[in-house]
Amino acid sequence: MTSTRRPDLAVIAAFGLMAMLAIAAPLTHVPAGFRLFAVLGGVLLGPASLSYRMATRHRWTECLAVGATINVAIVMLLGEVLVAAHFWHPVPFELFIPVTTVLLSAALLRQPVPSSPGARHEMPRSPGARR
Amino acid sequence: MLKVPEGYVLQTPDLRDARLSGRRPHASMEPSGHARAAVGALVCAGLLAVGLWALRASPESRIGPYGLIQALSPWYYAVLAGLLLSLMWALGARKFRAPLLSLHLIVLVILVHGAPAIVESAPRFATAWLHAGFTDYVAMAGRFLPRVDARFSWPSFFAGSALLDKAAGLPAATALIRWWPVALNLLYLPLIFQIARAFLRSDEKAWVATIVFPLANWVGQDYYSPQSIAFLLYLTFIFLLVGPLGANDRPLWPRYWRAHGQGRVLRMGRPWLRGGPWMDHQYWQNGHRPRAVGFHVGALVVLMAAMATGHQLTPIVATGIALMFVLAGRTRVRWLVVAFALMTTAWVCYGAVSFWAGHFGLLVGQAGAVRGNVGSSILARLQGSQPHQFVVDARLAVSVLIWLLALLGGLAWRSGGADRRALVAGLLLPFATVAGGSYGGEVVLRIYLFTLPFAVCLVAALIAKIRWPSPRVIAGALVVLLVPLFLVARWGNELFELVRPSEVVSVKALYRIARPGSTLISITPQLPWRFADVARFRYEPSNLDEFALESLPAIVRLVEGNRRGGYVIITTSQIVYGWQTYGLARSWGTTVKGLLSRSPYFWLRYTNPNAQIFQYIPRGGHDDEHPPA
Repeated sequence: MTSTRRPDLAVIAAFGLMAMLAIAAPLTHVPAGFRLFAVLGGVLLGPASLSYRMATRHRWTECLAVGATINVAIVMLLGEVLVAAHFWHPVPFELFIPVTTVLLSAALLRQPVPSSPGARHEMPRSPGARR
Repeated sequence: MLKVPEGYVLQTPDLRDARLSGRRPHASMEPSGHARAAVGALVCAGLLAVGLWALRASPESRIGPYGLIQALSPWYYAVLAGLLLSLMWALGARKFRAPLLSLHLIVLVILVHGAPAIVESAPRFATAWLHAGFTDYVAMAGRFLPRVDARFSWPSFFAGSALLDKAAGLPAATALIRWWPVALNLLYLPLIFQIARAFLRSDEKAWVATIVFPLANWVGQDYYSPQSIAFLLYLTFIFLLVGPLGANDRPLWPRYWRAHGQGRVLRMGRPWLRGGPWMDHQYWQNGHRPRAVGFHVGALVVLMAAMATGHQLTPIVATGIALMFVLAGRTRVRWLVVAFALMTTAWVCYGAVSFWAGHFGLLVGQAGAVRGNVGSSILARLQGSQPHQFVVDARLAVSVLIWLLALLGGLAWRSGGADRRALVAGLLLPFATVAGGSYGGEVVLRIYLFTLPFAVCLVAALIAKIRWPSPRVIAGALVVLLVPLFLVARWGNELFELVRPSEVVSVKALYRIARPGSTLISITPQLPWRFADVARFRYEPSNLDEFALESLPAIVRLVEGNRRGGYVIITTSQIVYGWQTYGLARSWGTTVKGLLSRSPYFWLRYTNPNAQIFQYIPRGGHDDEHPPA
């Protein structure tokens, strides 16, 4: 574990934990409400937020807000592909999302995470643009 | 060390925000912040607890022609007043402002958007039940039914929900309906904040925009539906365009419009191909890594793919907005707009072929008929009972107020860059959709929704320009004005939009009674059905005209061809809907029931206090299986 930033570790660990819950909940006999919570949490705190963080190193708040939506979009497209390809029933492909989250969490925990830039996006001008 | 020339002041965003709120800069070092934040959090928790209790104490039976406001306890209004005061106080907080404001906004959304979820005994809104039925069908059968309903031609919402349904082991997707609007509004808010911050470049203004949004969002498109999720994708799409992939260039249109003979033509040339972020070394030098750019572009493509396959209108508006941002010089992903347009068109041409094959007129029939589309969207809604007209007036008042303030903001705000151009373009572009079609009479609602992210930004910009008494007081006044208007506009139709448990029981009874393949008729669309057995029966569209005109032969014609029989279901919500929105006599339901009871073609098969089911009697006599009692 090379990361030294405690907030980063906490957030990444929360992602990993939620993903593991989302994997475990359908396989065990837990109350329906808890299972729904685990699955929804597993989607919203899915791999896109972590990927966003890895790729951009923007603030966690931005990564969470944007990543949650991208996760939703991925679920929609995944569902559509599964229906179109007639792969709906035989394999639990829905586990793809939390499994990816667990893998990414592990990767992020092993990666040195620099401090968050915390700055607003700069708006660089296009090359050739005149002031 | 940055050197500032003599006589100049280095103005940081924090300093600008401090001026706006009237607070001292660098005050975050003061120790009192912790105590104030703790007090703010406690106040929030207390107000939430009292608010939830007040909602539980509000009797559902008191919901009247003016909607939910007639049922709400006085304590609820007191809690809202306290919450708004606390919110305005938090806006000027020196320390922990973001968590405090976030907490306040969460409580506000729960209390304001979640009120019916607590007051009403069944999840509200008939169409949400229908969508739950579609989701359950996909989860169970693993396929779509594009020939049964047009919404299955844009099915990714149902597919995604069904995947969740399956993973969570839900017995029915109706479990998601009740709290869906609250969840969606909570997901919208961080994106509104990010968009506003990208445009306005000030946390203070962005918070004002974020506070105004949930109170201006009266259109009710956040129920369990494809458009609710499509709007979430739309907000993220906008943020990626103007945030991480944003630019601050000169407008591009002078470069594309070039003199050509007597006229001017659109010059399609290198500028469309230039400006791809990966081709732009300066972009990387400004701290943007290639991996980040690739991620953002990939995310845009995923979002557009989900929008294009999930909803009819949203991808078209999103593509138009992206084009406006390109022309305004506010984004860097210029050529990608072409890809967005191609994705949208490709899905309509190939994915949604079941929708338009054979009835192409549905797709383009209303294009260009602006007057007709406006008429069916606005004028048709200006009828109905007196209370309904009051609700419509409140809706118009909120819309006009927000649009007017946004236009004033566009005029008054001097951003000195592409921000204002892009915001004004984003505000105006959705109005072009009125030329495309009436969208089932809802086009104006959709326009309002699509303009809202830009409108609240411009409203916040306008508020920041008003220095007397202070921007915070002005923001507070606007919010205080919006709350009652919102409660009337959003929940004013609750008398027919609420779902009575006995109506659900009657629909379940109908499914138990009716033979598979029989024809089911609803007198108005306001019926919570099709939440199960979507493909087992033939559902006729609502036939308000025939019933309202007491045209029994027309109704008989709908069922007589089906040898498996037919059923007509009448519920209280349907009758209230006809009375309130179409201005029918309040007793029109009794008339229709009497008509069916006296008819030789129908007999009363089921009844409860809020619903009746009439079964069709074939011409040869009574149905052998179910003779009249």
